[in-house]
Amino acid sequence: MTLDFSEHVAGAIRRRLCARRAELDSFRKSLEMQTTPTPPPSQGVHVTDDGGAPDPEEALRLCMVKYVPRLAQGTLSPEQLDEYLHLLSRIGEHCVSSDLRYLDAYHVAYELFLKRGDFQSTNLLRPFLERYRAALSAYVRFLDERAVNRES
Amino acid sequence: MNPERLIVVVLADHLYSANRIWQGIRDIPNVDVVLFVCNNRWNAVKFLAANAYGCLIKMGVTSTIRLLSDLFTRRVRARLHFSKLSDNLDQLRSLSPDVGLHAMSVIYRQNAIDCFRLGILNPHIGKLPEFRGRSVMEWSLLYGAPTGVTAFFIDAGIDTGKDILFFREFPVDNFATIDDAKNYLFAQNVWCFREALSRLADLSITYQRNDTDKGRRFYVMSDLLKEVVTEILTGDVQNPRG
Repeated sequence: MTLDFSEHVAGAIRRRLCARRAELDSFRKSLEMQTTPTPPPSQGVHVTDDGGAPDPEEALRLCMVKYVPRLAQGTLSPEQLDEYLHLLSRIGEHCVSSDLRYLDAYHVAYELFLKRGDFQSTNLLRPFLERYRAALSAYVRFLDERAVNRES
Repeated sequence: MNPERLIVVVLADHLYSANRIWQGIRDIPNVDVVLFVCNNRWNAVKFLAANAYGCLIKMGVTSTIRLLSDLFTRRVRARLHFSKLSDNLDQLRSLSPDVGLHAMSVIYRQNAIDCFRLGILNPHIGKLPEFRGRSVMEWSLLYGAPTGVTAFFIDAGIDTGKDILFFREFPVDNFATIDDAKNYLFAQNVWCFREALSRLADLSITYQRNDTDKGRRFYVMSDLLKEVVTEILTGDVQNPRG
């Protein structure tokens, strides 16, 4: 099945992504004023070893089925949080496509972290915010290029 | 070919939801129905209270009297179990059921599915094989795909059961919220069971294969994309069919 959405929907998504990016920027600024970031090494952000790692579809499944419910219930242990962030970083490169499920996994994570107030309580999540912002920008560019290509 | 007599078991958490399905299928010929209600979620007191509330308040007097009459005349049978489905598989097996109708908040294990000769029917509120998993109505709207209900026999996976009976399109254009649109689709389960049983009973069924390679598994949708879907529902964003 090829996933694709109309230009009208693309426009609506673009508006929401830009609004989310602006919200994220002001949020990050407020966080910077509160604490000094010291990203720990075991973040999953700098992971380059792919040995035995799940494929993107399986990584997405694990994120959404195993970790998201626990995050929502507040039962995610620090080790599981690290694994979750690791998996999110793995699916990051698949965010920029018409298959919106990967980018949506980032939206879901951000919304849950925000609801629970996790960004204030742990510096562990700062690299996630960086990646999320980059993903939002990349997707907005993707939509712009897509619109140009469709016009031409 | 002679029509087949089917033993159908409605698998439900409440007598209320079981009765709702029963009332929708009670006039289908060649079908014997058993309402099989299990307590999958609560303690015994809560379970009893929930069922009493369902019968006395939600069902209403007329519907309750009709159910009691049907039970008294043995037009339908009912089994109320105070324990989980998995604790009652022997009782289920003893009914020699042909088809189960899913209205229970559980994921069925293979040993439960194996109790049925044909399987357990699930009305899935998305088109299979394309849209498996969660929030499929929302994802369908986002991608301009038809909304509706797929009747299929489940297996132990998530919407991966091999045999699809049919997909019926139910447009949701006239609903303003995701919840209203979803509730409308969920409420089509009775129609879906009725149609499926009619076809199974008169042997006019042709299965389609649920080829999972032709679809994707979807997950719970973010608030951000739900806002876009709400705009599609309200017509603020036009979304011609893809």
